Amino acid sequence: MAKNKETQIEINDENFREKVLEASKNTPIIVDFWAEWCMPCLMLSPILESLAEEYQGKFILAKGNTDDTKETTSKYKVQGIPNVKMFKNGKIVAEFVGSLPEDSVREWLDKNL
Amino acid sequence: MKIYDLIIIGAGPAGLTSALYAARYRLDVLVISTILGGTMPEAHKVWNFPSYNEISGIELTKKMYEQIKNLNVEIKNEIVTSIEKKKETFEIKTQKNSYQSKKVIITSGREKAKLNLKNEEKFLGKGIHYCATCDSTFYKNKIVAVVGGGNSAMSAALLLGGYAKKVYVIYRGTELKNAEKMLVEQVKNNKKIEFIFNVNVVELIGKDNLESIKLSSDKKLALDGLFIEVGSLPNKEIFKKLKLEYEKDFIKVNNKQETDIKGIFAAGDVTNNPLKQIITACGEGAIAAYSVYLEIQQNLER
Repeated sequence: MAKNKETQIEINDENFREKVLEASKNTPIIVDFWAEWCMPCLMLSPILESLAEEYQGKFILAKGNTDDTKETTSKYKVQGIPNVKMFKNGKIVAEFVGSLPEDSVREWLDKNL
Repeated sequence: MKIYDLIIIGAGPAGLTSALYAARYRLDVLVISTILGGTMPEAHKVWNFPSYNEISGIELTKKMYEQIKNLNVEIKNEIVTSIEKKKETFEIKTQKNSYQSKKVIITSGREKAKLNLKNEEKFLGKGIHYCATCDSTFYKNKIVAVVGGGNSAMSAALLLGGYAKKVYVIYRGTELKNAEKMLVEQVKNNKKIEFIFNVNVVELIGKDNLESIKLSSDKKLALDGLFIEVGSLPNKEIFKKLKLEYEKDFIKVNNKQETDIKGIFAAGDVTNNPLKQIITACGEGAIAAYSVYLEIQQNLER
């Protein structure tokens, strides 16, 4: 299936303003702060990725490896991962810390999107 | 509905080894788990798994997973809510599905104990942590504390010592007899780490984030993060309908890893074994899978 819309992007400190803050004025951006050494992150990531595809552009999943987002995580006081934040109009409107099963992530999306 | 030969609940070292053996016995096996590796990936470094001088828990998890993935073992990321004995089979319910199997191996491990203090939930990921491996890097040059006196508390303190400028280890006793001696020596030799013995944490203080804690000695400690490593217990909720026999809070098993319910086996940290390590969990997982295999063979021959 050809993708009409980009549903998933990679972000870092340099492009955070453009790809998250600015872009969230048009489409909700869900940032997933994760790291290689964090197993709960590795469990949550595929769930978010498949939901991003399923929701077909209702939100864009922005994956932020904590190695590439040190300034951003410090600015937003991210102290625990996985850390998921939903941005609308440049502001955080919802967030959660820790891995969740698919149904709970779906519920969180439907409630906040 | 499909009936599996075997359903394994949990994917820590016990569950993954059970799956490895079961698949090689050509049993039709399903693994249900929400966290690959169980608590193993939280081990920053493992120094006592034969064949590796030193390996991270996450790397070991990946290696074990690779091995069973090559055997095409089916793994579902779902939360098991109950196990029930039916006439010929067992029914395992998850939050959204239901599965049937001839045999079950429970390898659901333990859940980390909480301090059960006010604000503990509120500060989760905002100063309160249960996974030092995941979250240590956010505490560069900060002040942190670890609560607990076992191996996981010692490992957490060592790991945090690599980032934080100060690490307190808060323990209700004085003798660290539950921890490996070599590990304790390493902690004691680390100048950043300071022990506070004979106290409990009684209050978590802060506005949006944890800012300080109060100890039972009435002392207040300003902190950026608190890592909780006060032990762990099996989640017995999912076995409620089974009426399993326990020893203290752990499932009682014999040397074939059988529980008192025919067809249900258990392995790893969830059992009443005397030592709870990756290597012992693997061993028990292998035995459990072998016992399942023998029972299934016997039933076929009948």
